[in-house]
Amino acid sequence: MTTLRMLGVRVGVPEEFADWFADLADDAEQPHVGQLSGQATGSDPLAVLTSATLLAVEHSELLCMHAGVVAGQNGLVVLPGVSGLGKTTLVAALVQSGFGYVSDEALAIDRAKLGVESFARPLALSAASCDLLGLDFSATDSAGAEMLVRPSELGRISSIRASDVPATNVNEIVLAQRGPGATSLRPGRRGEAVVELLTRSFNSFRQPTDSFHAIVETVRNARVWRACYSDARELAELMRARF
Amino acid sequence: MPRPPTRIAPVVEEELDDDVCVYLPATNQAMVLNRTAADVWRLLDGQTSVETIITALAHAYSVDADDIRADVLAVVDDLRSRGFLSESSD
Repeated sequence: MTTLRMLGVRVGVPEEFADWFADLADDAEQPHVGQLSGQATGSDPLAVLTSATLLAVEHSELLCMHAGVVAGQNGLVVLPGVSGLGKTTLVAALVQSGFGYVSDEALAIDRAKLGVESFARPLALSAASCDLLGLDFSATDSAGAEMLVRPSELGRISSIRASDVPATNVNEIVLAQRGPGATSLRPGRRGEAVVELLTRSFNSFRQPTDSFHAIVETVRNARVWRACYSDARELAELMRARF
Repeated sequence: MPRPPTRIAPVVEEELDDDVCVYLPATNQAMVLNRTAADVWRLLDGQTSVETIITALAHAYSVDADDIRADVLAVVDDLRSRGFLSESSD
């Protein structure tokens, strides 16, 4: 059994998956909340990742929201969004362009201190996304239609903890939408970012009022943008120049 | 005559730039109200009819009531459909 650090807690997974999740290094200071059995996980690393994530979210004391997160020169950049809309591909493109990888799945913050916890899990990319990013799609590393890519293969990883002093906070929030036309990045309304993050939260129901205030303060301290794009690499370059 | 709508409690509010964010902890529902919608929201006290709100805002904005009636009704409908309002009891 190997132990992974995920969203402020530690989850055990069968040893044979250790290499896949090497970037989720263990942290003995965080609470151990459970482990997945080999029978429950089967042999699919993506299934293991999904089950372990659900277990971590269930026990995490952090406010967790569905979003991609990368680290720029001046602070963190958050991309709220659900799976299937290009968020992971965009995060991968950003990391390739020089941003530090924090997570492609969750923005996890301390409700009181607003510090962010990294969640450097492998990225699941389709063949089309791999082609866009210049990666070789390997059937042997794929789980169905997607290939798992270790974050360290894309670029640098930004390992941060919500308990860090000073805390690493969010500087930019990009509400990105994929669609036809030219790539654009323009200022957005902070209120819209609040609604987006709240809508995408996994566990705000546990402490709803504190969660709302934490999201508002996180957004208040950040700049909000609206982006439209069809090519993730173009938006990544635009963001690299802007942030 | 329709009863004046009133806000569901508890509601949490935060001002953010020119907007007001309102949040219902019980349902995890949130809305962003622009300046006009926030003015409507502040007048929804359970005692004031929608028509009175329209009249008051028309006076405040120096416009005819008919110019803003549709917008005010739309804000009230939106708040009601998202669970922020109920009809007050006599």
